[in-house]
Amino acid sequence: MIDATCKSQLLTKLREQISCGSDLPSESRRIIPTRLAALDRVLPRKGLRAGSLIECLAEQSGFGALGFLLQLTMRVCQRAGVMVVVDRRQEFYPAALPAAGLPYRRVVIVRVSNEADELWAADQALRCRGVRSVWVQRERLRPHDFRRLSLAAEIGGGVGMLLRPLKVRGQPSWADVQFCIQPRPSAGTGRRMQLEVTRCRGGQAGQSWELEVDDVTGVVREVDPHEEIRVFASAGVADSTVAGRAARAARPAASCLSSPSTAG
Amino acid sequence: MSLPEASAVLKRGLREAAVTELHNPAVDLAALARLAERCEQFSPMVGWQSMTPRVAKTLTADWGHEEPDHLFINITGVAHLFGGEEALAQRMVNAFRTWGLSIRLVLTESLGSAWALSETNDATTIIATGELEERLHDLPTWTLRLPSDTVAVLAHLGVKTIGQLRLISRQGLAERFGPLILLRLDQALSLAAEAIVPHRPAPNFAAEYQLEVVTERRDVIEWVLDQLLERLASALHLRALGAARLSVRLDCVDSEPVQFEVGLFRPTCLPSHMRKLLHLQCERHLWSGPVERIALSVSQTAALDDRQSEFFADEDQELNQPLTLLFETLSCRLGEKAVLRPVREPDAAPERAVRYEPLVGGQAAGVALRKQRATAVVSASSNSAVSDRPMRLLLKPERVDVMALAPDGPPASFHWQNQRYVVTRHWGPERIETGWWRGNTVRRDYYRVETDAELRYWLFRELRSQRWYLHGQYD
Repeated sequence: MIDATCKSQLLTKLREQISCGSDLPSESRRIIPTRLAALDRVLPRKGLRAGSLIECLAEQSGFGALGFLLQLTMRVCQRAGVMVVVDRRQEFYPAALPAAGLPYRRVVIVRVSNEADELWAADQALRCRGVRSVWVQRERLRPHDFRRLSLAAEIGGGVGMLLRPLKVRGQPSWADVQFCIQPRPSAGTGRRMQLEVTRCRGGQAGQSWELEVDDVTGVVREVDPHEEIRVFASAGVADSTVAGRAARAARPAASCLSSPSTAG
Repeated sequence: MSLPEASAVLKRGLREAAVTELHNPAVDLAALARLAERCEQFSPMVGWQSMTPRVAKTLTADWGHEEPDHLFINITGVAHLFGGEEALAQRMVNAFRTWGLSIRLVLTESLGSAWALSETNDATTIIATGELEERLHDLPTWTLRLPSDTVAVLAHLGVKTIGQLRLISRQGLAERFGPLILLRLDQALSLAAEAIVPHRPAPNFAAEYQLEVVTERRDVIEWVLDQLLERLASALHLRALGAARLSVRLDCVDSEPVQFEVGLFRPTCLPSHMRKLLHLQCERHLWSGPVERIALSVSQTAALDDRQSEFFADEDQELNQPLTLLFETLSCRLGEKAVLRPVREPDAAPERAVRYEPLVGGQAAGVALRKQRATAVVSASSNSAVSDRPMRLLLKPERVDVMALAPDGPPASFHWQNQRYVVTRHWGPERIETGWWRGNTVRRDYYRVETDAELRYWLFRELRSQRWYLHGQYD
């Protein structure tokens, strides 16, 4: 018969042994809370770890995934330091950054022309102690290169944010956290999206929520997916497009693998 | 006027006493140089009318810049050696009198104001700190060293003094007359730096090594570069200068010489720092034949304690060093134009509202930081719609086929890249027009649209052609 104290001691010892075996990162790194209660609850030690990678999987562009990453980056860049964007497509437009709170003098844009240079630049930037956050949009990433980036992040102490397509879900990942983001019908100017934590090192994966990111105020909040149906049902609006959207919102917001519907 | 006319004007008595000599600008310049040398007893930094070469080209026709007639002496930190500024001024006037010249002397904070006041004041003037603005207030605009056509236009608009000029908004001035007018105003008021070009040219930092035995081996060449670097570093250190750009030339036997440059984010005279970058850059180049001579020179120098080129001036100093190394390493491999910092431009057209400046490049680094402060002041009052900008902007706006319900109304659906998007919501229009005097005008009505797939795009209708384009995505 094992009593309570013995049990807890045993658990602690087992945890230590497991953490030795699985290269869980060292305890000494700073934790950055995301200030999104639901997410912080799920993450080990209640926040993002400095010196780690975050993988954000999104299929298309245009529904606000970068806006969400920007809000996370603002949390990460609270301390002095620089944000580096490695831009291969030459599409990144920094005009929205100062309004979010990041002045231009803390932003560096690195324009590369091929994937090899993109990887090298991201590696160098992550290694630098003065860099707080690195953004890279990358489709293919070999495990060897992924590991290299995660080691670079460990050395530099910044947070690397990798934006990748949905299809790499299931492939090996060296990121501390992997999210899957999908668009959701929005009301007002805020952007709604479905966030699912598909991997979380040391924490629980599988949770998903619907978030609303407001670009103007920078607030990220959790919303009730059924909220919208109640609103439309009570107003009794008969317009076809609105009814179509309400019907979509009613579909259970469960699996992330279902592709978003195209025409209404 | 010509000589016969002049002598006709002079009264009889003066005509005999008048002395005529042929005008020889070269002789004048030589005399001015000798005078500058003599002035070195007051301060080591003496030069004459200093202009950056680019500006000088446009202004030469106006005042004959090849014939300077002002001497600028930098007396920062020197006045106390002569017993104060008044004593120094008196000494200068006496010295010139012994050389047979009478001078107009102005002691002030900036070159621009010195020029302006010396042109308008006869007596020796000493301006205390803080008095500058009121002394310059009533001076005519031409004393700011502006081109004569600018001065004429300003006079036509009723602006005759510097005080009146300052009342006009800076943005308006910049749009109408270009950046020169603001530069001159800032230079006069000591808000922008202006350097005296010393009449003695700065020493040339260059070293070369002739190999007795030609070689293709990389390690030998790198060793030679290290030796040359040590030599240059000690020369730089003696003069408290830092290298901002290095250039290397490898002369090969029977083939084209290999040349490359290394730009530095911060001027440095530490050989270890420069060695790393040189080796990195060296690895990227191949030479086709054996190398017989290696030459290393510093193509751009800057003062070592130049605080302006620090990335973080006040906050975290300790982050500066790793960041400097990162920018230099990235620029070395990817090119200086690949590592950029955005700078806000006071331009309404979205593609021009952000300018990208290279971080590494000697002068550019320091200037970038300064210019940024200036433009930040200009656009502080600009519209709040800047927060409505997308995160992705296409390099060139792409043409889309749009169906709108009203000819001037918002889009109802659009076709882009062989796909049809139905618009469910829209925000706008936001009209963006740039001034006709800028040349390339932009007149667009921008709409933020949300499609039925919950994607948001930034479309605009070009007002002249009534065509629709897609400019960005709100990601």
